[in-house]
Amino acid sequence: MVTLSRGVIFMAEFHIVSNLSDKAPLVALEKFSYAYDEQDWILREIDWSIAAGECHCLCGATGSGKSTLALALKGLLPTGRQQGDVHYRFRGELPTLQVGLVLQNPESQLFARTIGAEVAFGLENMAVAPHEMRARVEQALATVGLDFPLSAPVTTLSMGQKYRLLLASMLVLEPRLLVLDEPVAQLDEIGLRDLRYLLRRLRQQGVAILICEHNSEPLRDLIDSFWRLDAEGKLSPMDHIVAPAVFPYVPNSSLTEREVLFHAKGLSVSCDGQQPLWTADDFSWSQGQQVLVVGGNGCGKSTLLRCVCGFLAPLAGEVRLFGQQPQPKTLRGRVGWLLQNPQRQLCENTVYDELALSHRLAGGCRKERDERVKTTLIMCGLDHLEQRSAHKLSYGQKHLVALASLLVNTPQVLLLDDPFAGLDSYYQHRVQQLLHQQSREAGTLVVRTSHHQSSVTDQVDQLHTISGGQFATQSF
Amino acid sequence: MRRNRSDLMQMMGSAGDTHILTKKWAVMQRVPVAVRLVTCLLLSAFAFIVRSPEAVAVLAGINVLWFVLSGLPAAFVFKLIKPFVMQTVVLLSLYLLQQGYPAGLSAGLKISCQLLLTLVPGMVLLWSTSPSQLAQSISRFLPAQAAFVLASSLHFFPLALADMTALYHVQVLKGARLSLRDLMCPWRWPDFITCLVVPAVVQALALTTEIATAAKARNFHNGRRSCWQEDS
Repeated sequence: MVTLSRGVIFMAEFHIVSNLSDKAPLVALEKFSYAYDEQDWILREIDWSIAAGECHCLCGATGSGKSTLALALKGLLPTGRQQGDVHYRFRGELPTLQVGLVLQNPESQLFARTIGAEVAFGLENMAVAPHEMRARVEQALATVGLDFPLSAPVTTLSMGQKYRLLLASMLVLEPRLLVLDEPVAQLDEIGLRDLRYLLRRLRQQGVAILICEHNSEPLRDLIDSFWRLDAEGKLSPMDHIVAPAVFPYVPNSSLTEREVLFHAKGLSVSCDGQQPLWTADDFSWSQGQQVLVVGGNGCGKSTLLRCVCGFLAPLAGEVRLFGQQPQPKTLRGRVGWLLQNPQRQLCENTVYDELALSHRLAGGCRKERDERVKTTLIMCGLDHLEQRSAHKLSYGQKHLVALASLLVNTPQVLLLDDPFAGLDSYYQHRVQQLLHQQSREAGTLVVRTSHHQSSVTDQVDQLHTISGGQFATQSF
Repeated sequence: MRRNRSDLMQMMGSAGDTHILTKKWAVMQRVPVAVRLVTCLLLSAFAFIVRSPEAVAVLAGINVLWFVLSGLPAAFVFKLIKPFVMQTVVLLSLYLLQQGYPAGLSAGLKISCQLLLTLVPGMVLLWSTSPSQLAQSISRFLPAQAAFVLASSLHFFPLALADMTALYHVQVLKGARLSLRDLMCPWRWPDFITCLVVPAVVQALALTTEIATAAKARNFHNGRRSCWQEDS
């Protein structure tokens, strides 16, 4: 018995036990190729197999086809061009039923209001008799260590618990192969620790696991084989994982007397206007600073950003932005906010138009627009894409376009909600580089949030940690 | 990507339900969901049928009773007041413009009340009944796929709303004029469409695809399904 976060105890054994000594592949891809409609092959002549109890990691840049391969294993690829075969060594008419697939965003995969109904959703789809469901649901929940009543609402769970609930929802269907699409980006340190423990136990029970993840470092000790999907869609084995490049941070010394842009006094924030998420001592942020706010899922990082812009009033205390109480209408163009999934904030047909729209909305001079847009595109390395549709670019490129659309106005404050989530090391490096450049050369205050406290923390001027309802400040 | 659910979702969660269950007068909670659904449809339909101010007043009284018997906290009333006031202002202005004073005043007020009475039964039903309960009832007379689509639309609406709110915040900071006052000016409408409507539709389509894939990953199909019993 091992006790994990919040007193959760993992007790039950997953009862599907495969023969671990049997090294014959459970699933094998043979010269498998796939393309969406008339596009180029996204997966090209892939030969890959996995045996019971093995854990493989599929690495590759953002948009390289990892999720497509995961969908192929579950038999969920949309109609397109396909060559080669997928072989399953499972019993039953539909072998894909024994493949469990957990997609990237837990929120869009939770269909029910209560924990019991959520786990039972798959059983309902298999038309399992209602009187058989309860035992199976309880077994699956015990396997993942979720010790809650079946009638407990899903909304009260943390993100890590929601992810384990999703795993329980898969395990209740007794999969032989479990495919996880980018789990690291969703989970904080506690969630990752619980996931590591759970996956290790599933491996021991003979479940094969495939993790599609470009940041596999937190799960490294679980993984038997690393595979890499390259830009051409070819799969090749990797000996080791490549650590993400870290941009050397040069402290901003050009600004000798930094103007204080944001000041918080006795701040306490809340989502529901009643229960405080955290309370903080007085703190302030100045021009040209790089600030990082670190905390677990749902601890109140995004709530802080909403308070900074005046979209949410503090529960207690006072905030001052540019010396006054923040009012969104007065911050047009002076504050830029990049969402965690920035492709959601793209509006225009071309990359050029996207930046031009931002410049126009912020009240920028029409005569300067073309020059400003082109300069920003060059700065962000997007000039060769200026007439392309932003919606058809890769995930990383869309991320850069959304950032460029904020930088075109040279905002005084830049708020970024977990800007590196879902980005591969190349685009992480590019975004990091742009942020450093912006704070150093334009004096922009850059405020980032993250739920991973990694090596990037030593590259900021100020670090805030949210833990146990306290907002701690550390200056460098 | 991680997304936080809106306050509405939290209200539809356990806290609200616990509150409801502790109220002795919440008799509607003990009535089958199908009956509640039919009552809701009837009340909404009556809002279209009634003509005289007296009948509107009686229907309003029945709606208040429906609200109270559903055991909802009084705070939920405030959620209805703001849209009602805004709607009334717009309608009154239009009616006064068309029919003048005092004919426009009474006609505008009556229409505004009728519109509110059309919406209130549905809102009360959504606030007091869980999506899974609704889905169970709906699935009795609709094909599995249609029932799932309807139940999912209700279930994921707060998530889509939270996404839209985040988008609204970002675009306002960019400089988009999206407040109600701004939208009174027709020359602001193109920006409203470009900055909010287009990305919101793209976002909604992406979310729909995500949800559909997630459902298929849990082996959802349009065939025979069984049903989890909450109290089993």
